Amino acid sequence: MSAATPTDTTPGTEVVTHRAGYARALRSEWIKARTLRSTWILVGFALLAFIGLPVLVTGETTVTDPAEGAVAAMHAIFTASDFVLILVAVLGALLTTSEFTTGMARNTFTATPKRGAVLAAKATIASLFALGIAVVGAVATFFALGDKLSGAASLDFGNAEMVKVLVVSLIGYVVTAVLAASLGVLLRSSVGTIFTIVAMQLILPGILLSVPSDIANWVGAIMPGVAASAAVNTEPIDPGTIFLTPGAGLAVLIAWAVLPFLAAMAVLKARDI
Amino acid sequence: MIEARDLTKRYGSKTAVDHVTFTVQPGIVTGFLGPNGAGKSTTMRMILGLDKPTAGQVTVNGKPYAKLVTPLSEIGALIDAKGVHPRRSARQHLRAVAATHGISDKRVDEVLDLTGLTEVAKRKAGNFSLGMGQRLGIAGALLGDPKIVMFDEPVNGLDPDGVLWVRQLARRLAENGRTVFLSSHLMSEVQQTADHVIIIGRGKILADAPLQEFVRAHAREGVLVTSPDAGGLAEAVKAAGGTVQAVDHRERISVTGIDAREIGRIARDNSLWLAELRDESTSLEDAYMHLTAEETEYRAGVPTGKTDTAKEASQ
Ligand SMILES: Nc1ncnc2c1ncn2[C@@H]1O[C@H](COP(=O)(O)OP(=O)(O)OP(=O)(O)O)[C@@H](O)[C@H]1O
Ligand SMILES: [Mg+2]
Repeated sequence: MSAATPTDTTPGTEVVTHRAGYARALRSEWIKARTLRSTWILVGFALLAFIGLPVLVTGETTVTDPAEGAVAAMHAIFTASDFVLILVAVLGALLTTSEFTTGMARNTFTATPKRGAVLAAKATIASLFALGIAVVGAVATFFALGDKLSGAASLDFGNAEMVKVLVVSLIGYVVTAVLAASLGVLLRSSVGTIFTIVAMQLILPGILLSVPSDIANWVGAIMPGVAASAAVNTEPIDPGTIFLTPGAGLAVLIAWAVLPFLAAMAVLKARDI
Repeated sequence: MIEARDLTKRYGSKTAVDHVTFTVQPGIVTGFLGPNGAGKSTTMRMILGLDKPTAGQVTVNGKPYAKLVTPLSEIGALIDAKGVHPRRSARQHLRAVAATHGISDKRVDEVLDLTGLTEVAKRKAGNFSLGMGQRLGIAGALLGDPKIVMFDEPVNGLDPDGVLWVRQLARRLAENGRTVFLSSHLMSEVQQTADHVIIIGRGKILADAPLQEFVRAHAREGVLVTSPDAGGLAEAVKAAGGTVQAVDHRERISVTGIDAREIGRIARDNSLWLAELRDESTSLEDAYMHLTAEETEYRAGVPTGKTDTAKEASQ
């Protein structure tokens, strides 16, 4: 390996540079995300689970009411979400934690000193991957389920309840991605971030909702996954139980993206890299 | 140009950089020297806006780093050669950095070529040797054709060819009017490359001077004499007003206060056998050692300590 005798830094023509802000940070983050094999391995596993699980567990429909059937069909398509969302969270978390664990952050933030622009770009990339997985997964699952989604169990985009399930599910994917990327900035640790998300998605809701404590029940009710179920709930709420109304559920779900993102923004700007 | 004023950084109770004021001028190579933990890297991180100063400020071409619109065209820095994602290829790493400024792929290939990495550009950065990692860091620093280059320990891990290459690069960049700021532990390296030195110890600036001036001020200028009659010669030299120090070798003494020509005459007049007579090299390393020894003694409160003058003997 031998280097050319240096003439200067410019052997050719003048080097043209442009303002380093959000738009170019976004391009940079896209290059970073797509040039790591781990990104595509995660996307591959996410899609495999997204499509594979419903195919394995969805039986022939027994519903006869097409309105109920359409909602059930949409739920069937998103059967694997609990698991897929963990992979989406891992993807989102790695976008930020890997900066700090590898030391790349020093390159990233000298190239784009506007820290908020970098975080916004990362959150955008995380959201796009989450949406991509959800949309591609849902369409593929629809075709994979084939005849199981026919008759009374057909999708019906004129059915507002069914569309709500779809929209809230997609919002849930974006929220999880942004939450993970933001937590990654706050914790700067891949393991810590992923563990926190697994706890919030899979472990805590079951425990918190079942212990005989109002406070625990309330905390359980505002966990992102529980809030998302509340957002699409059509049953009347029993006054004795702690469960969010659909509107409150949606608001809490979105807050799980907005508040951690704002906290990450503030901490990223204040802390040393 | 880099200007630091009263720059201070504390980590908890530890003061890493302590009210440091200096200017790094364009057109010359400025060496930034100091022992481990002196605060060199911390100072450089503050210049790049990565660490927030506890007090004071630092500007790059007149602006705080965060206010630079295209920072990579103002200053290119190599701070940490390992600060690269290990599973991304060298070329993709540079493309990602370049994208933040809309810098073309052609330029990415240019800096790969300039640093001799073209053949390994597709390899993962994590498989790079320390030297290749340094080259990749330098390639990244040169991407934006910056007016200032700042390298933290650039020759660390480089083979002799690589060291020579960095030296030539630094000189050429300075000759073309750029500001070049390099930190190093290797005194001989700095002596061959730098025009100006800034020396930092325990977070404080100990010296900020043109290299030659600094060396002249701090190095001992003695004459090294080898003689089988060293004892007799030492007496004669002392009688003539010189100061004598013994050195590692029994037949060798170091003389100050009298020049080589005069020592030769004294030897002839006393019929003493002179085997070798030469001026001691006044190196940056000597000067640096003397300065830091003085500092250590000063701090330890033993101004007559025998740190470096333990060789002193009364022959
Ligand atoms: N992030 C940090 N947190 C706490 N202490 C730190 C931090 N960074 C540096 N220090 C301390 O500040 C002092 C200066 O460190 P710095 O890395 O700037 O020295 P240096 O001159 O670059 O040393 P070296 O030659 O070993 O690279 C050291 O005592 C170090 O332990
Ligand atoms: Mg250092």
